[in-house]
Amino acid sequence: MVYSVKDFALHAKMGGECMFEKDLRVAALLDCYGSLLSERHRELLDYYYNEDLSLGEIAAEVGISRQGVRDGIKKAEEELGFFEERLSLLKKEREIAEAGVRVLELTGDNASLRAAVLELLTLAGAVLPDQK
Amino acid sequence: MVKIRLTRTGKTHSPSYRIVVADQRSPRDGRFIEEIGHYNPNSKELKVNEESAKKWIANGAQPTPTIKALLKKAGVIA
Repeated sequence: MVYSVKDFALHAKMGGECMFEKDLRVAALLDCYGSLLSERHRELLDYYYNEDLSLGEIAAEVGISRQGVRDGIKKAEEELGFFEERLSLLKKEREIAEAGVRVLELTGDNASLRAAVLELLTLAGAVLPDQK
Repeated sequence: MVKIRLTRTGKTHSPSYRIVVADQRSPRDGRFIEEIGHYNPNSKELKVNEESAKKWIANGAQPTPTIKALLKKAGVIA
């Protein structure tokens, strides 16, 4: 899955996966590149996407205008999109995790092989979906 | 005001959300009144306790826009 922030609006128009006003994938981008944002931008995105506050609520919390909050969030989203476009860390991470799941399936009952693959995946920084 | 909103759980890089009923004030301390469901945007898994959701909305709880969309998808509200 490749997406930049600009794609998000497009997805919404097409009635695709993204059917919410807030695209929660930004939260994943925030995990990846959050530490590169300014503290203010990170705070705004955290309130908006992780705590699901409305613009008005954030405005009251941070002490700036609603429009200021919106501008800040838009700017921060653009920044995240820019990072992902250039670095594709999130995309690579997803790909490693997907491949990892396939490899894990192939290990079958071989416990030691499975442990070795898991170790390798951990080293590669893959976040695997929860094992059921 | 009482709000219905998402609150983030899950690990770094793999977000997952609880749907909670909470007071609008003091959002950061995570205090909530009741948990009424959960949503995982990665697997698109969505579970809502329809009865409590309807009860809270009837009692005047305001869902956030995100929750509104989710509840519509779950068929709880029209």
